[in-house]
Amino acid sequence: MSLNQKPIFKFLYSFFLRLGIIFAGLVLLIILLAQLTWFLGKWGQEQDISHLETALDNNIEASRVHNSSLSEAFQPMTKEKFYHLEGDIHTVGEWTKTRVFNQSPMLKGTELEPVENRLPKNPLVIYPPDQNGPYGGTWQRYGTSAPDIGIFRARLAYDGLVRWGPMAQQILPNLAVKWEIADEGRTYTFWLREGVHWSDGMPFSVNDILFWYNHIIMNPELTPTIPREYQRDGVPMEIEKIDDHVVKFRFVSPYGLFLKTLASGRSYPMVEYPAHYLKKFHPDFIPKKHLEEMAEKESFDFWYQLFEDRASWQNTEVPRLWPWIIKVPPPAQLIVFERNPYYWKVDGNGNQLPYIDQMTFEIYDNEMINMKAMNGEIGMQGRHLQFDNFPRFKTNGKNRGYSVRLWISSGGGSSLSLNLNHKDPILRKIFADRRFRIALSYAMDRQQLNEIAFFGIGQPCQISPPAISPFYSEAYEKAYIEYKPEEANRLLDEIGLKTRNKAGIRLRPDGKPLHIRIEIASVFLSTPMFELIAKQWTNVGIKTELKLEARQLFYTRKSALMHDVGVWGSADELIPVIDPRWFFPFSQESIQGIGYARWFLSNGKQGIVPPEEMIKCMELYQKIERTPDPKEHVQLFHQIIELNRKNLWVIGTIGRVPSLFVVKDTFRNVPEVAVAGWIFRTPGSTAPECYAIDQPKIEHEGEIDVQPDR
Amino acid sequence: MFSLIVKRILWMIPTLLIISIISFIIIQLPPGDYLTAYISALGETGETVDAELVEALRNRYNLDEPIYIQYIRWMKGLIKGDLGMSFEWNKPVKELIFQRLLLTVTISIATLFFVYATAIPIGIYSAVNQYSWGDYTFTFLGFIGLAIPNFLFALILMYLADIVFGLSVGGLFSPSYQNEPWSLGKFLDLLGHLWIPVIVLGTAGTASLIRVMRGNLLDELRKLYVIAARAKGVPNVNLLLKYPVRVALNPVISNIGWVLPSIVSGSVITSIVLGIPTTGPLLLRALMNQDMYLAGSMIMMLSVLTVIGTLISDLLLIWLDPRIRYETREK
Repeated sequence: MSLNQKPIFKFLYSFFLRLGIIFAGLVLLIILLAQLTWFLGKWGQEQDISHLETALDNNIEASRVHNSSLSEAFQPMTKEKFYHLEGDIHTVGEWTKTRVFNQSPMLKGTELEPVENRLPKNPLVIYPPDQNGPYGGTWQRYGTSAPDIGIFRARLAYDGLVRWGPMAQQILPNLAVKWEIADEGRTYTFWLREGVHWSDGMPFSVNDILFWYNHIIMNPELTPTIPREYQRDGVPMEIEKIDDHVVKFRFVSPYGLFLKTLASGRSYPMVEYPAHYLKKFHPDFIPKKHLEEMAEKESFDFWYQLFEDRASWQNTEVPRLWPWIIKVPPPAQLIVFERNPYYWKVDGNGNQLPYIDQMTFEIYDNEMINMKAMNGEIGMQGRHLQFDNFPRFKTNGKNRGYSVRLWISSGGGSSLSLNLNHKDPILRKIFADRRFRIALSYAMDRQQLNEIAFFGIGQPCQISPPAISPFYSEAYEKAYIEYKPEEANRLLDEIGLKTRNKAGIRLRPDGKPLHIRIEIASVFLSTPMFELIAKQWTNVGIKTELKLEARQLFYTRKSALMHDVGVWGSADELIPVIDPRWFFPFSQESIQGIGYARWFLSNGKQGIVPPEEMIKCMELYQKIERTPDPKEHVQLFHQIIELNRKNLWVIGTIGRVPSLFVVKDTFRNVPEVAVAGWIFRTPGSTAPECYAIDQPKIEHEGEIDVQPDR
Repeated sequence: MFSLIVKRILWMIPTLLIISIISFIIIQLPPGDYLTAYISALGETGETVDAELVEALRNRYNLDEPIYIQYIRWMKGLIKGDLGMSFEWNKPVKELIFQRLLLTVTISIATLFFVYATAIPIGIYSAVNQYSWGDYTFTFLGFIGLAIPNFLFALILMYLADIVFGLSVGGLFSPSYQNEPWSLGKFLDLLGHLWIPVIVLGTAGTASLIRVMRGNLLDELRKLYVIAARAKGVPNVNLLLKYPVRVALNPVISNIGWVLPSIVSGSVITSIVLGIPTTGPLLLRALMNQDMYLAGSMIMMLSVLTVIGTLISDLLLIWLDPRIRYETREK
């Protein structure tokens, strides 16, 4: 009796046969669908690009006329123009008059101590650009998620020891009244404002900074690695308390950039850990066992998670030195910040700042935030607003009661980074040739790019400091930015890429067609610009494709050195010494040569040895780090820029595109022009605490002076 | 009957286990992890994070462990009723979900009532008056409702709400009521905003339900028992509601299995377009950022609800339809 005859096997046989057929059918269907979508996608892409090109050819003249009013709305800032602007921004000073102060009507009738007891001995005076006051009002803002609203901490409550000024030209006193750099940049002494209070009324002193140093930075569980900026040659800085209001930082070797990094946010953590409150959650003061029980009760796994939760900006109980403190934290729908009654700044007439009583955040999708902006529902905000919508913001602004401010962007625009550490040895060799990179730069018609992506408002340039920067170099800004396809072709022929296939694509030394891919994280909105660049590069015989990727994929690929050409935004080239990632491989973000960056970061222990001139840049930068003299920073960095002009390691596109802010017409003291950038924590650098909202004229009480007092 | 329920509940355990494994794998499939998502999102706005700090954080969140260990860690918590922490919000997942659940359920139930209240009478009307003017009109409107993508309809209604009624765009409350305790004013404010999502979410459902009701009822109306009853002089409305409509409702009941999870998940795209704080956008964001405990727990919750919903709809069918009742009894 054969096995097949048993009914159970018969059943199993037919069962699996059916299952197999269904499965095979499904697989076939999936393959078919995948093929179909692939073909359609390809077809769609090609359609898109050709459509773009013809549309552009036809409309470029017309668009110039049509957008002329927009282009005129913004002219790139020149040095001469810049110096005439000074009057429109806030200035700071010290309080020298008698101690008579005034406070917001919101605080009257509360059980607080009188305002003169809450203010420090010498409050910082901020002279607003437009007018003093009035008090009150709500500043409406929007974010895309709870962590996104955390930028309140970084950008709106910009209160460290020192601050960048609104034009990013100088460093202004803030919590520190004055400072002194000695020992060729080895010691930094700061004199703090006396009598500043935390928002719960407890005094703030050097002890809080010591708490941060001894129990946060030096605690390996809270700070697994000490940030680069707090150490030199692998040795953390030392801190010394001279008295309650004088503190000294000491480094083992000269550190010239410390003051600048402090202004760019590194002095921020120093003053956001109120010792008297956070001691209750730290194992140096409370038995660890007790803390772990507390943590477990709130479903945290470790004590440091509890500690971080208590120290986080979302905690309503932790005292702050910020102008506004959180009242209703996420995950509420309407997140509310309210004025800090102990804030330590006043205006020229002794009115305690901030003027605005309350700030609110709501969480919406990016597109929705743009619609809210068009609808005039934003107080003042630039984050998440898309430059593509500029014309729509402008046309709606008149009816909806807001205006659009274009602030000077501190960056140099999106960059194209050829992967100099490419895995493919032939591509790596081609990319390493400076003539190849220069040829690619010449092959780009930047005028066209400017029109298609930025309404002609931007300016063709390399990734260079803007004109108002002390580091400005016209030679590098304008290097190889002309549209010269013949010159590009000549250079490419010269480096041995002369032979082409039938389609006109140049052949690599190994006989394969030269084919490169521009990879771009899909968040970038100027995608059409890069489609056009791909087209223009293909025109000089380098077959170029654009590949849109999800952000995460882009990040994973670039850290594995897998990209041909990567696209990313600029990094505050106005003060390039803080993050010089586009001038030489400086960090993991320098996608032109992450292998070289690893070599630099590990002091030559890991990574790939860079070419000689790149090593020269790194050495120059290390020299900058060792000199405290800002003039010498400029002089040394110019040598780095000069090497960049020669080698063009990174290719620039369109820069000087202004940062866009939407400001309600009732808002006062928002400067017409300022510098916007991450290292300046804009709008933090324009002193949001002195922004004010004009109220309807009914409440015009005596104590609100509208007299500017300079 | 009782053994049937017990059996079904026992079967739910392996089903959910498999779902949990698959969903955990799918969440992990995209390249990178929560931290790559986080630093790339920061990089987009020009902000940077130290590479060493990222490595340390990865270690802290246990993201450097192999996937099966992460899975076991998560399952251990789930059994104890601890859904884990959301990386992005730095809050327990439980808190986040329950915070949004009430609103989501409110919208979904309101929508469900809207759908049933409009679709069932219209379906009956259309079937009884087949090929009449009314039938054609409702068919036409129904197909339009089916064909318009929800997000587009949402945008149009939002535009109208802004231009005609002057409502603040998006959200469920005016800013002034946002953080207020419940009051009559807040309730009226909610009603003022609620109608947009309800109509948007309801139209597609209404349209398909009308078609289903109409088709089923038409089948029933032609059957002999209806003709016989009519011939015996049973009043028209009585006859209609007592027999054919009851039978025609069957597919509506068996749909409840899917209704339950959708009540909780909220409609993702519509909620995002309208800016409504339901659980849908929360899930989408969690998936995009690979906030895996939040995403995994929400998917698990929806699966549990689907499985329970299917059970409930089966039980309802047994209770409602004598034919199924007898069938199960014979077995």
